Amino acid sequence: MSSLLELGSGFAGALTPWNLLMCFAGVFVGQLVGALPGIGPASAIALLLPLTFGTDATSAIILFAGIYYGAQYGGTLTSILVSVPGEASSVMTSVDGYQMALQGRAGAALGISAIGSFIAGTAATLGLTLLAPPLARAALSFGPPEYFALVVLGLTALAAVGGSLLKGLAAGVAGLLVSTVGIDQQTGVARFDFGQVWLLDGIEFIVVTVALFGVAEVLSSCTMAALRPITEVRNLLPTREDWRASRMPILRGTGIGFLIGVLPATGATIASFVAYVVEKKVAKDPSRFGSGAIEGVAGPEASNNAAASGAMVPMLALGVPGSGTTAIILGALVMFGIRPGPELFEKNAALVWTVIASMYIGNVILLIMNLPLAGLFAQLLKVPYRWLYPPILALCIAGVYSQANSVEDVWLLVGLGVLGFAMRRYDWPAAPLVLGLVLGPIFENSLRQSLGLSHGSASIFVTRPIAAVLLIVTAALVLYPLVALVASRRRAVA
Amino acid sequence: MPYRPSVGEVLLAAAFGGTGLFWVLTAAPMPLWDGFAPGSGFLPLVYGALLALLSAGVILVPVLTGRGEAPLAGEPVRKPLVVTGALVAAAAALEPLGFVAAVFALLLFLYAVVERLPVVVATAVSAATAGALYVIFRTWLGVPLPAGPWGF
Repeated sequence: MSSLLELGSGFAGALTPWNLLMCFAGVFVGQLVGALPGIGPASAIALLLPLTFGTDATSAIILFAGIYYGAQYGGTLTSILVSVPGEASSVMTSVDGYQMALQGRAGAALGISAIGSFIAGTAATLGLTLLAPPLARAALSFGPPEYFALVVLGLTALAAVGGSLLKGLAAGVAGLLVSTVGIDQQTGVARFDFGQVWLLDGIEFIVVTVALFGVAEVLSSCTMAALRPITEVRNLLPTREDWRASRMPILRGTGIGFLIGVLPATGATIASFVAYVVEKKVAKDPSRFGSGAIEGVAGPEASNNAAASGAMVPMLALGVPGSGTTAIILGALVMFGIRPGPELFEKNAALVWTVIASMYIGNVILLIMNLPLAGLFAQLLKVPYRWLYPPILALCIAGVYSQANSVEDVWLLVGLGVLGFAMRRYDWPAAPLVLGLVLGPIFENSLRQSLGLSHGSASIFVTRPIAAVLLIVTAALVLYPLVALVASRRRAVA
Repeated sequence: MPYRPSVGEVLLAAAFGGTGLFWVLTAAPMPLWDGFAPGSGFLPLVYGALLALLSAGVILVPVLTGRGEAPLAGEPVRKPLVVTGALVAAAAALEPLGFVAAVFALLLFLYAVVERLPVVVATAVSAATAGALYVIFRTWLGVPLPAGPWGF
């Protein structure tokens, strides 16, 4: 009940003209970047970070959250119209969605996606409203050992999201390593500054994020084809038969997506895949899947939107991001001087509730944008990438320079951009590196405070039950792939 | 067929691993323990050692288990290299030429030379973009962007 009261005050904040504008801008940009291959929500947030200097943290997080869930809607457009998913989480939508477009039913596919996404996004935001506060309250008793264990879990969980756990862990450790550059806040010792004064303050999160998600994405995508044919969009409102076939997949997709989104180490991509598999399993005629079954569009689309809101639960309540984009939003919170974690609901309640309220509003805006305006957005897909990437690079330079008025940061941007390009090329995830950089100082402080409390004994991490449970979950995340590998080898031998 | 990592993959892992080893060597002389808690050198040393081990694992584990993914089909790198070169030139030109001229030159090069768009169109779009960024960052956000000999 108290959550609903807090949500009411959140709506009062979210409905101010400036926050409404930021919400609209967020979902609009999210819709755009979700639709345009070659730039994702993580890159868009990285690029817009410098532009939010001077605004208050609440408006900035409303903008970033809007980009995050708006991109889930936008990714659908390219999946259905050109069979090129704008986002990884829209891959499953393209299987049947594109087939529907080829049969002249692109409008129905886009319409049911928009309605399903709205229902799922709103229901999952309600789940976030009800689940996150008690989770945060339960975590309020966290001391330094629990924070230490949370950071370890967060880094490991994000490392486990991508393809290779080893690469993810290595990237996370690289981020922690970069966080040690500059003056040690506790001892005052200068570390890894190489005699350069500009490194004494450390390497800024914004430089690393813009390089790894902005420049690297441009370098990876600048070879893309210039122009694609776009299917015409008509009759967006689904027929009664479409609706009858889609309503249960939307409900199932919502439940699956929210649950998977809440769990660390998962995300919208896995959620949409599971929803598709479930729909195929429960279908009376599974052979229709792959040749234009509307259930194959409705389920995954509802699921990836519910997962996006679900991923905000651990991010807001515990400070553990469930995806690369939420890792960057977490970094933005830190940039604004806000400590992520269970205390967020206590110390920054107005921010949290205003952001949650804005998510309800954003979902309504997205529904309005996607039903009557889907055809207009489809036209935007005709803009070739070669027109887009030069200004993106220019924005990267201006943004990074502006955070410290430093040309050295621009050089760092170029160097890290090349590193990010190589990481993409060889399938090293960049998000754990950014998260390691963001959480590095919290990790080091909580380790020192924990060992100070225990007079130097590491047993404090296993004798405190919550810390022990979090570390056991972390160990399970690391050991699961090894156990699965051994089991599959045994099966192969047998 | 046994898995063989590509040269680029090995080089990237070696770069991470080398950085880890450098961190270990640099952190070793720092105070490692201070009373009950780690000193300034402890975590950098641990991070460096872990990064070196994990980077080695990235290459060795798929080779030893034979379960690596096939190397990429070798997407072209010429264009990304050219774009990187343009970025390096723009970064070098920021202070002597100023933000507007450096960014205008970067955009013009990318549009007119790399993407082969008509020179008039490329010039107009580059000028408009550089001008818009100047207005946003210098006028709106008050960022003291590097000024060239022309004062902007």
